[in-house]
Parts: sequence; C-alpha cells; structure tokens
Amino acid sequence: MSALIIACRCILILTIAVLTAYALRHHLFVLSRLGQRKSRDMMELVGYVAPSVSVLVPMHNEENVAADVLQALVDCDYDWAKLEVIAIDDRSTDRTGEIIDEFAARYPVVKAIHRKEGQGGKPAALEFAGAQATGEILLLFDADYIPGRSMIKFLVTPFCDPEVGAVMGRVVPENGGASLLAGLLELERGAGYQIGQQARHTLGLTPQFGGTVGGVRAAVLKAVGGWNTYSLTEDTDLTFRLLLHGWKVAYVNRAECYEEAPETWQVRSRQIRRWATGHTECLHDLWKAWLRAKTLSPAEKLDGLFVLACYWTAPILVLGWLASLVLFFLPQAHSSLAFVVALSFMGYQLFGNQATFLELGTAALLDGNRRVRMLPLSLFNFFGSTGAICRALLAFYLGGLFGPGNHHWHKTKRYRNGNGKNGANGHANGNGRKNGNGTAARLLIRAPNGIYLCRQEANLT
Amino acid sequence: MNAWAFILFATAFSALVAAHFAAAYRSWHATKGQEPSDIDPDYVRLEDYFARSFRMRVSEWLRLPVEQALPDGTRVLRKEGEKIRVSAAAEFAPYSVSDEILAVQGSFRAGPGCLFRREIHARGVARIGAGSRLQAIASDGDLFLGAGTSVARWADCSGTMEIGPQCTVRARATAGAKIRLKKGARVASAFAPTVLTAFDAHDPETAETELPQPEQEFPVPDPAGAGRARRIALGLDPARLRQLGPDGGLYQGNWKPAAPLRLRVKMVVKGDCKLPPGSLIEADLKADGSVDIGAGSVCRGNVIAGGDIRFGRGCRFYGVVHAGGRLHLDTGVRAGRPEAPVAAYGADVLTVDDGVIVHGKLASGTFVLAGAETKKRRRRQG
Amino acid sequence: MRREYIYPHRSVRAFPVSRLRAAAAIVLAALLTAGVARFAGPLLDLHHRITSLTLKIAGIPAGETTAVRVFSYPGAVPAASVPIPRHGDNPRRAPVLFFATLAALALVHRLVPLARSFVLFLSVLLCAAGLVIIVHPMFAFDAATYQKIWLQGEFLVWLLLPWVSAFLFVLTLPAFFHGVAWMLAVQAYALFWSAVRLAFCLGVFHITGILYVPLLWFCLGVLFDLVYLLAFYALALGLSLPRAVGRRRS
Repeated sequence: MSALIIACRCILILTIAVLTAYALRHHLFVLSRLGQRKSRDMMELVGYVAPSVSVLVPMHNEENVAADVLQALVDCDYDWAKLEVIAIDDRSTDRTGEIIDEFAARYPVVKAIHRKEGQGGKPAALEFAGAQATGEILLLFDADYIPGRSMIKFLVTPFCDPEVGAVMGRVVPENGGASLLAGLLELERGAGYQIGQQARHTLGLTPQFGGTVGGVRAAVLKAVGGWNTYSLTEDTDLTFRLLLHGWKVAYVNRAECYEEAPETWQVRSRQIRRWATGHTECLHDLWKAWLRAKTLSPAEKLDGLFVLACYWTAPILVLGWLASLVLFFLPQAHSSLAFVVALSFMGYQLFGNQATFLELGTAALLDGNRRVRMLPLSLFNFFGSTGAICRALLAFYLGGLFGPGNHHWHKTKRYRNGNGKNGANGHANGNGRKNGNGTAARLLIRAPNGIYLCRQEANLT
Repeated sequence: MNAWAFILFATAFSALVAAHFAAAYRSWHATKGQEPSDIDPDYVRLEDYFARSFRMRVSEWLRLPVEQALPDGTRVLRKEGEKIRVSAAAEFAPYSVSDEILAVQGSFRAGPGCLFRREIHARGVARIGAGSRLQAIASDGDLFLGAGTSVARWADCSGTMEIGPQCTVRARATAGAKIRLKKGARVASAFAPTVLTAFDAHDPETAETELPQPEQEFPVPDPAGAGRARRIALGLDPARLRQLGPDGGLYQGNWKPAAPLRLRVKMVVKGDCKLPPGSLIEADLKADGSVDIGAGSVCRGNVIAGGDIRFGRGCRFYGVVHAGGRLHLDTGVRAGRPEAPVAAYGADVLTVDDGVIVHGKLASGTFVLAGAETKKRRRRQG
Repeated sequence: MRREYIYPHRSVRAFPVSRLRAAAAIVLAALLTAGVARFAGPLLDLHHRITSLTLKIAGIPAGETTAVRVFSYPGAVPAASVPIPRHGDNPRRAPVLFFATLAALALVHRLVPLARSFVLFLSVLLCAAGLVIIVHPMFAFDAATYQKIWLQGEFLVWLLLPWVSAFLFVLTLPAFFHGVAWMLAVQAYALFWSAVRLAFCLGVFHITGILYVPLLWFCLGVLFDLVYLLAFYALALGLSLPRAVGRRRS
C-alpha cells in the first residue's frame, strides 16, 4: 500500500511540476506580449525587401475553394516580374485541375502543375512542386486560405535578416460564427498566435513555422534536406531542422490570413490527433540532436522542448488525475500536507490551467474579439482536446510496440463553397473579402506589373 | 430531512452553476454567424496612406450641404458632429484656435502659437508658425513647419516639407519630393524620395564618391595560401566560424577586423561587429549585438543588429537597415538611390547628423531625431 | 486630441505594464494573501456558518458541530456533522443510482460530441466509486474527512487566488481600479461559493452515500474555482473591450 501511495505521489509531483512549468511559460509570454518592445518588429521595412517569390498551393480535391485562394494570390500587391504562383493539382478527382488550368491560362503569373501519382500527403506534393519553383523564397498557402493583398510583402520582409530561414504569419479563423467549436477555436488560435508565437519571436525563442501562411528560403530548404514526406507535421519537422542548422524562424503578427477552423468535433479530433502524433514523432526523432545542438541558446533549447513535448501534457495530466483519484480513497494518504497541496493543485490545474486561459483572454482583449465571453466554454474544448490527444498518443506508442504505424494523411474538411467572386456563395460574409467599396479600393489602382499605386488625387470642387 | 427543501435548493444550485456558463452561452448566440475578426484583405501598405485617404474623404465631404455661407466666400459644412470650413486661402493670426476641419483651396498660413484641433488640407503652400500645435496636415504644395511646432499625427505634402528646429511630428511625415529636417526636429518616421538633414541653410551635396577598394576580403580566395598575418587582420578565429547555408557564414563571438575588408558573403555574427573605415560589404550582415560601420564604408546588402547600429562619417548603404537598439547616421551618410529607395529603422532612437541624405524612409520605434540626443533625453528614455 | 488606436488593423499593439502597476498588483496580492492567512480562523468560521445556514435552508440535518484540523496554523475549525449513510444500510441504493447516472451520461455522450471527454471523465469518477463500494462495502467517507479535505484545498485556493487574480485582472485589464474591484469581488465570491458548494455536496452525500463523493469533489471542488474564475475573467474582459480597443470613427 505504501508503495502505491509513493508511486501516486511521484506521479502527482511530476504532473504538478510539468503543469507549473508550462504555466510559468504562459505567464511570461503574456507579460512579454503586453509590454511588447518593438525591437524585432520589421513592419517599417515592408515594401523595401523584394526577393523573387514562388507561392506554392497544394490542392487535393479543392474545387470548392481553389478559385478563391488563386484569385487572392493574383490580387496580391507584388511585382509580377518577381512572383510565380504554383498551383499543384495533387491527384485530384474533382474539378481542381480544370480550375487551376483556367487561372494559368488567364494569368501568366500562375503556373499549374498536375501530379497524378506518387506518395500521398501535402509534404510529398510540396517536394514535387518545389523542384520546379524558381523563386528565392517559397511561400506556402493551403487551399482554404485567403491571403490579403499585402500578405506577400509582409511575409518576405523578415528575409532581409540573413539568419532567418523561415517566416510564419498569423491565421485567423473566418468561420468562428459557424459553430460553437469554431468560435472556441477562434479564441484558441488567437492565443496561439497573438500571444504564443509573438512572445516567442520577441523573446528570441522558437516561433514555429506552421506550413501555411509562411515561407522558407529555397536554398535553405534544400540545404536541410527538403520536406520530410513521411511526417504528419512536416512544418514542425522543418522548423526544428532549420533551427538545428542555425537558422531562425521569424513571426509576422500583421501577416494575417483567414482560414477555416474545424466546425465539428469529429473533424477537430482528427486534426488534433494528427498534430499530436506528428509532434511526438518529431520529439522522438530530434530530441537528442536538439539537446546537443551548439547553434541554440539554453533558452531556445528549453522552449523547443516545451513545444515538442506540449502534447505530452495531456496524458501526464490524466495520469496525475488518476493518481490523485487513487490517493483520494486511501485514508493513509490524507494525513500529509504534501498530499493536500498536490491534490488541490492538481484539481486547480485540471484540464488546462488558468495560465492558458490568461493567454486566451489577453489575445481576445488585444484583438477586440467579442467572443471573449465564451471563455468558460473553452473548458469543454480542453476536455475534448485532452481526450483526443491521449487517444492519439496511446495509438502512437502502442503502434510503436507492435510495428511501424500506418500514418494516413487526413485532409481537414472544407466548409466554404466560394466561387472566386468575392464570396457570393460562401459563409455569412462569403470569403471574407469586402466587395470593393472600401477606402483602399477607391484609392488604389493596379499597375500592369502587379503593384498597387494611388490614383491621381480627385478634383476638389 | 426535508426532501422538498433539498429539491428546491438543488434546483437553485443547478441554476447558479449554469449561470456561470450563461453569459458564455449567450455570447455564443449573440455572435453566431457574425463576421470574423476584422482583417482588411484589401489593405495595401502605402507610406502616405493616411494623408491620401484624408484627401479623398475631403473631396467627398465637399459635396455635403452648406450649413453657413460667409460673405468672404467661406463655406461651413457639417459632417455629423464636426464642422468643415472651406475657404479659398486662409491666414490665421498668432495664437488662433480652430476646432474645425479646414479645407483650404489655396495657400495656408498660420501665425505662431496657433492650435488646430482638427485636420487641415491645403491645396497650396502651407506655412505654420513657430510653436503651433496641429492634429494633422496635408498640403498639395510645400509645407513649412516653424520651430517648435507639434503635429499630433501625420504631416504630408506633395512638394518639399521643411520640419523646423525642435519640431515634433508624432506619426509619419511624408512628402512627394523632399523632407528637410532641421536640427532638433523629431518625427516617428520620414518618407520621401529624398530625406535630408540641413542644419544650416544649404542642402548637402548629392554626388557619390567611388567605391572603396579594401585589400583584404572574406571569404579569402585562397584559404590555404592565406598567411597568419592575414588571418589575424581578418579578426576571425576559424574554430568559431562555420558555414550557414550555401552562401553564408556564422561566427560565434565578436568580430572586429583590423583592416578594411571586402565582405562577399552573408555573415551572421553572434556578438558585436565593428568594421574598419573603408570596408565594402556586398552581402547581408547581421549581428546579435551592435554593428559599427567605419567611415567611408559602403554596404550593398542589408544590415541587421539586435543592438545598436552606427554608420560612420560618409558611409553609404543600399539595403535595408534594422537596429534593435539605436541607429545613428553620422555626417555625410548617403542611403539608397532615387530609383531604389531604402528603409532604415531603429527600435530605439534613430539619430541623424547634419548632411545626411536618404532616398526612402527613416523610421523608429520611438522617434527619428535630427541631431544628437541629449544626455538628459537619453536618461529620460533609459 | 482624438485617435485612440491604430487603424486599419484593429488589434491593439501593446498594453505595457508599468512598473507602478506591477508593484501595486504585487502589493495587493501580498496584502490579500497575508489577510487570508492572518484571519484564517474567522474566515473558516464564516465559511462554516454559511455552510450551516445553507444546509438548514436545504433541509439537510446537521448535528452538533464538530471540529476538524485544517492545518496546524488555524488549528481546529468548526465543521458540520452531516450523517452519510454506508452502503450496507441500503445495498440497492448504490447500484440503482450508479446505472441511472451511467445511462444519463451515455445519453449526453451520444447527443453532445463536444462534451464526450468530459462525460468520460465523470464516468471514470463514478466507476471508481462504484469499484470501491464493490471491493470494500464497509468503506466510509465521513463528513468530517470530506470537509477537512475540502477546506484544506479551498484554503490553499484562497491563498493562491490573489496572485492569479492580480495577473488576470489588475495587470491585464486597461483600467487599474476596475481590476482591483474584480480582484476583491472574486476573493469574496470564492469564500461564499465554496460554502454553498460544500453544503450541496454534503446534502447529496447525506441522500446517496459515497457514490458521488469523488465526482462531486473533482467537479464541484477545486475545479469549480477555475470555472468561476473564468466566468469573472470573461465578464471583466467583455466589459473592458470598448475601452481597450477604442471607439472607431464612423
């Protein structure tokens, strides 16, 4: 019995230590973001850094959204002499191929590539298309994203720093009003980017390249071995390989792009299970090299481990809870103060500690997000996420015991039915684009080379 | 035990528990289907966006009905809670105060000590007297801000802008031709085809000098043949130098070559970097600490530093410059070309000595200051 | 002069936390924590009185007040004596309640996908209690023990809460005095609401025995402190939004 009590207490100590470490990290990030110094802000240099760019958009059966993203990219403010948009029809069985061919025929800046066979998954498609890209910088967008006109300029600016190997922008769910889950995910994404990524960038830690709304130097990608086509999270894998080779990842908070968040729990569960499995794979593949790396500071190494191991917190949390449940029923355990502290702390930190919600709330405040009042409902989202992550990691480790896992790339479901004409058929606000009546639309005209210029001043009568 | 009492209590308790989520649930219903967080996907970054947007709105406001027509031809229009005064030309006596948006169809002149709480648009030349305070001003001609003038937001003109001694523009100063900063002028950022400092009456000379021709270069063309003396002059310890990508190097520690250097590859220095006068930097350079570029050097690539950056007398740079600390441009520094403007940014103060010409933009996280920062101001900032 | 924010991008760039505000937050948190520690006895006594009153209103008999030792410092504090039946007193009660609850949870599991993990969490707690009853039918969890664990946990929350509130309200809300007011409100609410929850738990145990003990401890215990904290925080943020973002010119 005493062995059981000791074991449970050890588990509790581990759980509390891990959760407290993450809590301190979250608090640090919030403080950093609130009082953000501008030392790493490169927004004033936007427009003065103009390398050649290849934008890669992999698409597998994306007929609902393909036109929107290609039209948005074509409308971007960038010199067409330095831009190519490579639309990749990756073994599609719908009209995706036709749509990208139409765009390629209409706009010289668009190149259509059709991939009929080969390994499935996004990284394989990127590897295929990347070989044909000519730009110094490769920017990536998923098909359901809608980049704004300044997006390319925002994303390429940090590459003026020779140490930057990759850049990440910010994703903002456009369908937060479509379901309760999507609304909660909007808050969660806000915290992840507005607080987490920004703080890690400001503090010189390890912002993560997310595989979309971001970019990488083509030469650097080649130097670190290209995309890992077997990884479920090729973005995380690339981030850490870049950092191991001495490159840095920059984060651009102002490079905001709409995305579609999962609207149902089934879709979300699949997404988070993929992320949990992919992250944990990266952890296993890279942790030794990470700890030994001479190119990283101790703070970067620590933060990197926090990132890679973040999905472990779910099973640790569940183990701690089970241990406290055992202790709860053992009268012999009740007498010590340590037990009480542990039990209480455990309960308090249960399923997402308050520091996580502090990040959510602060991000919502900074964004002026009216959905901030939904915060208490996030508890259910965290319960759900914890369950899904535990399930994923159980499958990962058990699968590892019985042989190599069978990773299948599940594409996240698309909800929009855009038609490339400013969202006539989309969600409540279509694809998020205003209909051309705003100040910017009236002020600007497009030069033949793709750059936006001001109209002549109107006559003042 | 009273069963009914407990049932009632349990119901009330459940309602109280539900109340903790009620506001959240109501908020979800209230925001269901609403537009996402406000991103403007049509936003295109223009340096003089505010001024141009203001001019366009003025042209729309001029179509509003006239509330009051004065004998001198001045019209007063009403726009919701504000008034717009439209006049042919305008001249304000010293210490005048105005609460109206001014749309002046000709020249605009304000005496010293005036206060303008709303924006001003002048189609002609605008002259603002010393010590005046403005909200924002856009001139279609030249703009002269007298000594000690304070602009709360932006200032823009289509011609030449002269920002007088001790003037402050708290947001952007943008001009179609030239911005001339007098000693002590402070702006958040200055953008024009030519931005220059001219502390006396004359604009600096623009003629370019020849490129420096340093004897030593990095990477060394023949590493095997490079003698010890050369390696010492380069200031690099080979044990701390490694390759970063196909076209760059990373150096752990401070780098201070003893002799002028031609740098042909991208370089990342994990420390401070001090390059001697007469160096030629042909690729991007970054230091985690400070960067000090000696006098007469030329930088063709970008220069990035986590700390301060200083360009010595007569330096030239043609890429972007980004300092995580202070940025200082010494006398005679030249930056960019009219056909290829550049941007220089200091997260802390950006100080610009006399006789500097920049084609493009100077910007700062605090302010751009023409002249040296006083110790008092530095103590206040620190 | 006007213009309180930077457009066209609505996100506020930063809310720097001044040293003065940080110092004030620390001082307030320290004062509140010291106050809770100093007045532990009276606070726990007040807590007991609210619990007793609530039990009385709820029609739950509470016998003579007993004393429990929360920590060595405040010493013995009063606790209600609510009889909790053992399994042996009514062997059919626990299985009936168990299966009825499990059926209700199964229904929720089926109807609400987002709540599935939470339902699983509740089910495990229920099954744990069921297992204990099966393996050790004479297992007893008296009211005094439960209140001791409860009060120990809550007291630690009251000590920790000022520091958490300082971060959530005083440092992050734009208006300092609003933040202080929310901080004090949360602290007062913590005591009151803990007493009411405890009364509810004791009432349920008095009727059903120990089957729901772990479930109520984990859900209505310290976890619920997080719930009301979030509710207050969300409310405070929602009310602060207009001030934080600024009024947009039409």
